Amino acid sequence: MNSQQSEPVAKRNAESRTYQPFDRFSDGPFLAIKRFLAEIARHRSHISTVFIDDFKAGYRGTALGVFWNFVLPLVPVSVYILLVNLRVFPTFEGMNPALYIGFNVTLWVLFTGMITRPIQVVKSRNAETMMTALPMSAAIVASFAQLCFDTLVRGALVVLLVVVFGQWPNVAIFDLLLALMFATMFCFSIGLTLSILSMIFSDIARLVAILLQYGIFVSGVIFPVSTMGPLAVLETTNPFNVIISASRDAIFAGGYAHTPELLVWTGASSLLMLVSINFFYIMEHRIRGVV
Amino acid sequence: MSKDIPLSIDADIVLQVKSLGRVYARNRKATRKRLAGMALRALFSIRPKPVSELQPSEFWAVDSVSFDLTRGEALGVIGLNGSGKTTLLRLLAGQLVPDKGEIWVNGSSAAMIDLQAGFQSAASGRENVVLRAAALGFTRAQTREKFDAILEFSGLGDAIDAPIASYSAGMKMRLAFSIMANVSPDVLFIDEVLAVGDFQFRQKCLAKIREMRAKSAFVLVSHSMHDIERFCDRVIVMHKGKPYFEGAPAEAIEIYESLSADQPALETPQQLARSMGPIIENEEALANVKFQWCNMQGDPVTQVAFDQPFKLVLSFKCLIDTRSLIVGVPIWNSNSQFVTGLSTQVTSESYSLNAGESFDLTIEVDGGYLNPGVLKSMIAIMDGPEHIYRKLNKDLVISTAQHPTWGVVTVPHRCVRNQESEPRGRPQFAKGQS
Repeated sequence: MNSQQSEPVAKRNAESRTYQPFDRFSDGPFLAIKRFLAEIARHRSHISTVFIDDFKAGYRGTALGVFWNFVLPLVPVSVYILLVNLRVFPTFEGMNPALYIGFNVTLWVLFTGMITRPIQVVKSRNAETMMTALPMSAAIVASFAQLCFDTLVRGALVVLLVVVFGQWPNVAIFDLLLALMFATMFCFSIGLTLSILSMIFSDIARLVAILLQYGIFVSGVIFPVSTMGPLAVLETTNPFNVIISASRDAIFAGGYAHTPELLVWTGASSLLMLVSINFFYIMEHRIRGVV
Repeated sequence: MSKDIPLSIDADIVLQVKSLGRVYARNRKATRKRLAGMALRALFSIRPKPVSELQPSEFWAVDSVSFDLTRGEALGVIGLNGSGKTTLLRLLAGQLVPDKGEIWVNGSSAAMIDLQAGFQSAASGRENVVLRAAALGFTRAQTREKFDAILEFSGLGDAIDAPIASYSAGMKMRLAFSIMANVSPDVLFIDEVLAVGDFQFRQKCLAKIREMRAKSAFVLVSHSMHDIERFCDRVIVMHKGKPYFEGAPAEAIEIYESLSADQPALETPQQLARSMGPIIENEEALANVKFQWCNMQGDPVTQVAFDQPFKLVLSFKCLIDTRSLIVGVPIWNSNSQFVTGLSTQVTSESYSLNAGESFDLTIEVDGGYLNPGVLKSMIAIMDGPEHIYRKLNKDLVISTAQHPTWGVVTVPHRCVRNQESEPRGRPQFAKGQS
């Protein structure tokens, strides 16, 4: 047995540190972001291990094994593709309907997952993180790894649809980067904030689930918002519609028609992210042990 | 968590705790109300005020805990169920944030508080080694290097590949301890977990802890008084969230065993200080004031047996003329109860001293009156009604008597059986005999 000081632990917390009641309150948002990222970097090994374990847990004990990890993410996309091919949904905007809905659902599941996953993780792993002193950020990021894998699988299906239907991309890289940046910052910020609030107000998780169930129909995922009569006002005011239509247009239509609105949303999301990471960083320790 | 370092610190100190406190609530509503207030402030980065008032359902789960821990030292924490031991350990391990006070950790730390923590029950023991090690900062490659040593220490053999859900509590403890033994942190927090292991593995763990003591410090929570006495240099007895006693293991165990759930908690130091009154040190009136508790041979002591006599030895130099010098020693117990007073007035003594004159005094106290516990006292010197010196004396521990005691003092008494009601002669009981 090795009785020497083990390197990883020594590196992890060999420096002296002080725990005080409200020390995180005075750190400010920039230091909060720095420490948030440092926590993730420090626990990268744990994150990858948890991801691998969660990945294995997805098929542990099944006869088909890892096959399930590739099939299950395709279920929500394939259901909508099936419905659109059965003419349950109309066709529109000159884009192949299967590709249109496959692409939109992939983005919808990815970005709403960035909201719902932190809520689920904080609720389910709160007790465990308290017992292990692991930062909650590590648990959330580990769950995002699974989300990213699922998105890659769905993305592969979208690429297949592109090839099959010959709907070749016409990418506007600036608009695409702006849309993805806005989407990531906005959804991650909302997810972090609601994950803390849901530990204080238990109704939040349920409300979010209901809103997202309705939200998919007014966010341009299945029908273009512009075709929805009075709800067309949501074209640029519903952030999820902006995320989906901007990303789709930036990839397939050579640019997004409402770039100024997208810039405004991106700026607002930057501010929102500063506030929400700081909020999460302060409150994460405080909610530990709350059931 | 901040990186502030105390101004003056012993290089060997690995853990310093000052006036630590944590509030818990008995119902969810109060917890959520406090959290909501804090969340509102967190949104705007407004620092909350220190906790001063508690809601009716709130209480201090840990309160006024202070101690230092040096490398190689083992501190035991004992107390009745619900006395705040585990919450204290969680605070020290950084799993919970204190509501008051401060914890300074100088080095790496690891905790064995919950056997299940970090374990995935559906995964095998082997997979869980990787998971737990990753939580401690090990990469998969580093864990692979240590895996054989962990497996060998755990003695789990082929069971390492079985799902951990099929493990007994003892097997989980074996696995958890084996991982931790390879980590060898500067401070290790252990909560009762050794109790679930079988005898042989416990001996193995305790031998490992002894080996680790060369580099590590320990905080050990246990209900096994044998382990506490054997491994701890110092013990804190927790009672109703507050430190009730801190000192040598043998005394701590005696005090712990005499505790009952309805015994009141310690007052806070502030409340005790209020009971004791002001500190006065008139340097123009007295100089070289020295005082200490001694045994009857004159050796300084910090504890005496219940039935042994002891004395207070006091000396000072008087810098002013006094006409009616009185020396008093008020005594409180650790619950701030005023127990009694020793005074020169008992023998109607008062002294006239001239400036520059030295004064030596011994107050002898008979054994068998002050019941076991920690005695807190002050040295009060007065010239007539004027206090010219009031200062705290060192605590004196009265250790457990050979017979039961009640209250704070045992008054001399005898039990005599009425011979007329007892046809056969029975011995008389002397004072305190049961």
